[in-house]
Amino acid sequence: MDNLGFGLWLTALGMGTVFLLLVLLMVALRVIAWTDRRGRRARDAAASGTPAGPAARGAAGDAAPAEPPSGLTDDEVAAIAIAVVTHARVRRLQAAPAMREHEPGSHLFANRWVGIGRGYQQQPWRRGA
Amino acid sequence: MSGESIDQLFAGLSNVTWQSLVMLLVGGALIYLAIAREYEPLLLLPIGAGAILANLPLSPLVGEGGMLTVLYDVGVANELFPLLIFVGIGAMTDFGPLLENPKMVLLGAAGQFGIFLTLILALLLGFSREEAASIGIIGAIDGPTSIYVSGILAPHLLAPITVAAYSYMSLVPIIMPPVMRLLTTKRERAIRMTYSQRPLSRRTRVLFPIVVTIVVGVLVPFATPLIGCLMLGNLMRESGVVERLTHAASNEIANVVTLFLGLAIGSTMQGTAFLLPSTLAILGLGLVAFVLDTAAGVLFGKLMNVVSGGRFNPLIGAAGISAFPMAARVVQKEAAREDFSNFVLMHAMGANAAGQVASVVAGGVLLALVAG
Repeated sequence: MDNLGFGLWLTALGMGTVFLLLVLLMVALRVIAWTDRRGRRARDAAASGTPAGPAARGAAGDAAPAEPPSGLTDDEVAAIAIAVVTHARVRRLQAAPAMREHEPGSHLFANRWVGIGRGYQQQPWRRGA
Repeated sequence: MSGESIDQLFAGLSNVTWQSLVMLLVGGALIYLAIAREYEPLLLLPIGAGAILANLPLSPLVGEGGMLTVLYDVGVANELFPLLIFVGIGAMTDFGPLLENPKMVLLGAAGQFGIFLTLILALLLGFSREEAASIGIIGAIDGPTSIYVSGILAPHLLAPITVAAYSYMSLVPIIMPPVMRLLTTKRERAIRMTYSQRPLSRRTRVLFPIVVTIVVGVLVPFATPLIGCLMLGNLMRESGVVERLTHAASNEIANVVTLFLGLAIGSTMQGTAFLLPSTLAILGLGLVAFVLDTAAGVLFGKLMNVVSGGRFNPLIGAAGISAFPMAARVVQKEAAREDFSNFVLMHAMGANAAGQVASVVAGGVLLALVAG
């Protein structure tokens, strides 16, 4: 019974401390995130030449949505992503059968590359090779 | 040739005991699990090899001046190896998903309930307080934390606790799903959560390890070695100015230390000390700890679901443990099983990263309460 009491006491105290510590950590993380956002807003405002106060933020918010960091719209990013994937696929299909037999990234695909590399290294097309 | 010389020649054969034979089989089983099943091979293979080397009759590798004993004294007895591994883990871990969503920290805390509930069970089974705390720490689901805490509180139980921690960690994809399915409904598992990536500045990423070390170190000094090393690795990674150190910590140092740690732990698995009923009890309680962790996480997830008005997927609670990123992957797999296009991975990664910090904190708290 003593052991059970000790175990329960330890659980209450231990979990209480763990929760308390992690709540403190959560608060600290939120503060860091808040200062980070604040700093970014101030930098953005300085770059666009407008003051970084709440009124200015409101006015800026009403006027236009925030620009993405890359300067590209969502549609442009999607189009680029599709183009990259399509290009990779076309290149794979155009490649030699040995290379396109297996999905790039797989061990078997890597093995093919090793095989081809060895083939080149030995230069079988050269006389006396 | 005298009879004494012949005796000496066959001294190995005459010193074979049934315990050493059983331990050779146990070592072989660990090597089998590592090679054939790929269960945590990086650790189980050296542990198995260490167990075999230590249990060969009259093995010169153990005892005064023996290589395995030297490794144990150099890195396990003084807690150096687990701490070096923590530097490597910190260098490999991206805490970004946690920084984007700090409330996930709470799920990390909930994932530690298994430690204390298992501790109570161990106490009821008759283990001493230090032993029960060491067994409970298996519930941190974190190998280095288990080794660190049990090495201080109950060094004689180090071998079974380490084997249990690492074996069950590799079984996370098998242990967790049934508990998750049992405690949640189909509707809950299919809840979709929106995720919007928040840009994180380098300053935030660099400040995180420093703040965590100071907050945890000041409040629970016992956790300072664990959290300090974990966050040192992360600081090196996020600072971006010590690429070579980061690379070395997460590759060469981590690999060498893992090998030494495995061999040293394996060498403690000597038949007379390992083949005891308490070993079986520890293996059983380790499994219970994993199940309780998962259950507590899912139940806390359900609580968050209620608080958020039904917008929180309770499965994510199960990721609040230290097995990173395996637990997050299991949660994603379970969510996708219910609804193939449901993508909760990034939320689960946040909870999983929190679980890593929380397990270290829980280890420090446990040390402070039991050893302090």
